[in-house]
Amino acid sequence: MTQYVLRRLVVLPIVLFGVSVLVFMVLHLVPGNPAQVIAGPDAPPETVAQIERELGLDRPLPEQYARYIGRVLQGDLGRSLRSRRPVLDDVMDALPNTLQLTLVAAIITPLIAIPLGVIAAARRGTRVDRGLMLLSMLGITVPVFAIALGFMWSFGYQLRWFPISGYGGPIWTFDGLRSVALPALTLAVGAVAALARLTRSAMLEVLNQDFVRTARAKGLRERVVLARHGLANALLPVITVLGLQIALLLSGAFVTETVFAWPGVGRLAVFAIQGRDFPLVQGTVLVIAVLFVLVNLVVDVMYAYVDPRIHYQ
Amino acid sequence: MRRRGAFRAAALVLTCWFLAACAPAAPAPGATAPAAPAPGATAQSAGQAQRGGTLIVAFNADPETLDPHVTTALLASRVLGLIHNNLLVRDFDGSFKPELAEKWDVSPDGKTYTFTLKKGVKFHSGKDFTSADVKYTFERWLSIDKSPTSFSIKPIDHIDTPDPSTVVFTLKQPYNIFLDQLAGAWAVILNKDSVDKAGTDYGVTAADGTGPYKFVSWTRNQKIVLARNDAYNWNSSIFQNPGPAYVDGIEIRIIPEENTRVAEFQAGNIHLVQDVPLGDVDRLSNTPGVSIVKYDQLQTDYLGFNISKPPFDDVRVRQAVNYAINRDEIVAGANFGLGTAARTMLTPSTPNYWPGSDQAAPTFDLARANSLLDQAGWTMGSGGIREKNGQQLVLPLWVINPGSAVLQAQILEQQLGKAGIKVDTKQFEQTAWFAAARSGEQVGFIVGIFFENPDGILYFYFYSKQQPAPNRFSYADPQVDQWLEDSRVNPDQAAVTQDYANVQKKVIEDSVTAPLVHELGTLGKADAVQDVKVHPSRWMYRMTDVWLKK
Repeated sequence: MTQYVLRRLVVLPIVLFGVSVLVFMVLHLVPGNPAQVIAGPDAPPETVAQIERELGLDRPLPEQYARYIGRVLQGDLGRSLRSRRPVLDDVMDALPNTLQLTLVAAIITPLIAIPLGVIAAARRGTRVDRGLMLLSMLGITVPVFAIALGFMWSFGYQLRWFPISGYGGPIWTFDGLRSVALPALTLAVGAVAALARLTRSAMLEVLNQDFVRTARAKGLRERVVLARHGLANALLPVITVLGLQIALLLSGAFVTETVFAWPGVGRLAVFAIQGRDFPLVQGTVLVIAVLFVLVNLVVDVMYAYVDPRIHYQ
Repeated sequence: MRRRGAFRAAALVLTCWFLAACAPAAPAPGATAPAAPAPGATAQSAGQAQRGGTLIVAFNADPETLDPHVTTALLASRVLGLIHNNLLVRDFDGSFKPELAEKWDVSPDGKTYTFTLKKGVKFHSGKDFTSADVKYTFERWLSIDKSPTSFSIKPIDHIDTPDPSTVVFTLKQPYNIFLDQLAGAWAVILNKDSVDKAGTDYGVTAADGTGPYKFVSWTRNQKIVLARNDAYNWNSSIFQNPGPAYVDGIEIRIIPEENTRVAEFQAGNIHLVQDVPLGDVDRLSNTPGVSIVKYDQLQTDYLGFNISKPPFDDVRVRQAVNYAINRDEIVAGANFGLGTAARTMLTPSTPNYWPGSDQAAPTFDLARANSLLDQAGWTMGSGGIREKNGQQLVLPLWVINPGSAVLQAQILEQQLGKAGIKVDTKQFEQTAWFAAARSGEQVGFIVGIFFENPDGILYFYFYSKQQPAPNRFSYADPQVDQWLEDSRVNPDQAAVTQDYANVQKKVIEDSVTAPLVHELGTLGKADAVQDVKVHPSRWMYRMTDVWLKK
């Protein structure tokens, strides 16, 4: 197992290298250069050229990349072109906020999704089942943006249960927990919906098996049948998808954090892209890539615990 | 049957929920007919000003940096204006009034500016403000290679400080807009010691000025906190309150998403929110506890032509477009009635607006548009689109999304279609638009322009050497160039006014642009906020008159 984890971690730098090349190329393909943004749209060409020189943007692309990666290898992600702050500071300020948000979303996702999926499976074909499946379809198809505004309007504005937006503090404080509720819920909706549908179908598959019929035949209560014989066996595909969904939560953070004014990495990346702040975009994307890889690794390791049949070599 | 009923009910509830949440209350276009207020619209106050309270303001982005010499960010200028003072300020009527300077003299040749400074002014750090700080500020600005704005003070040759309260600027040549630059957002006076001490972190973790509010803290992408400067008693006479400010402090909350800002504002968590989405203005105007201040923000949205691109190199075609546009329809349909029909690039309240514009500028006249196109050889072809030598008359129109230009373009498609001109709209993200619109490939484009003085519009946009941007028109008229050059150096104010009038007249004759709308600014204000007066800089500027009613 340790060997497996180490092997996966060795791959990490290769992934990051690929990501950095890709981001670098995409940034330089997108119209609009940072010097122009800093100088303002109406600045004279000489001013723009001067800023380009200052930032090294007039050098050939391979050279720019080599300089950049050289600095990154020394642990220097550069300074933001716009705020002049070290990128690492900006990213490290934002990272804990994104982690808190994602963590809460990752915890509530299975807590909501699995019971819903089990209920739907147990009540297959009833109104409850159809209602839940309709809801889950909406959860998957309605854009995060609309869901966010919906939650904000109803729970934040109308009912005043939670703050409308902003960061209220760390999640272990009362204000922090209140402030994370709506963004975390929003972030979780898509994952909950996908996971609930999957739980339902996995449960149905298991419930059709002979051993479930046997369990019922020997007079076990339905609750025990569902939990001990049904869910326990349906859980593996559910965990697989849960892992994927948690990784996807990170990408959902871009929209959710922006709408809820949540000062995380996703929102930082959006600001950076809008401002063509190349070092900041690269820094945030690298951090998100690291997270993505690590989350996937954790999920893979979790399999082994859930299913004793799985061994990693 | 019962089952379907429940199903439907659930669907209905959900639909309503999302509709209510997402749809901005659609106002009837043109339902509000604002009488365009003069710049500096005042929301009337209710009695004697009270001290206390924290004013909470929403911004849509971080102001990037509080170093005035390395940014062009509008939001940075707003915060800088609260922390700092200038030598002089622009009054609400456009004239200049003293601020840190007590008075100033300009030599007859227009090359020497002598400022006498106020005494007893202190920086937040406690240091006395002297002429050395003024000299330092401008020399630093000029010396920063990557400064995007230092070109605006390039005519400075050298700065002398004969004594602590006198500063003499000597210019290389006369520069009629020098006072404009000194009153500008980037010309705020810095404390030499504080800048030296903070080094590269100046404007990032530290900021020191003489202004009405002190910098307290800045949590990146979250909020900026400012506290009242209790020593502040040198406020400019353009404000009611000689100082210090009435509110204890200002908290700026950074909320990027428009709908979130409006929701926070409506919920009473924010006192002031600028640029309320036009579609929300009607609804918020009828919401208890809040109101919308509409102000003349000296803005013109216009359709510009690249006049080197056929067929728009033919002035008759450009004029025809101008006559085919019904601007009142655009104001009502695209700007929700929040503006006035624009016929010129300068707004009527911009200093040196040419009064003859009213007569000279084209108004909606479809018959005239059609006859101009006939004269230019464009005959009506199949499908209602004019043709000439087998070519269709197509206007490629580049617009920024999001923005009011998207709706404006839609209406233009219909209006110009009636004259047989096909409009081919292409939408861009803002930064991409500005990159594309200086490429030389642009033909027609819509964009907004605002400036407090005529130079910022006429010299910036129509001088031939301002190509490729902001002169995106390929406009190079030797006579216009000469007038514009003269407007910057001629010491005779009457001659300058005449220069500006000549340029405005010529630009109308040449139909370089088709001005569309003078868009009003919208400021959402909680009822507790009193004495909000919007400055020509489109903001409450020093915020010394604002107070909170308890």
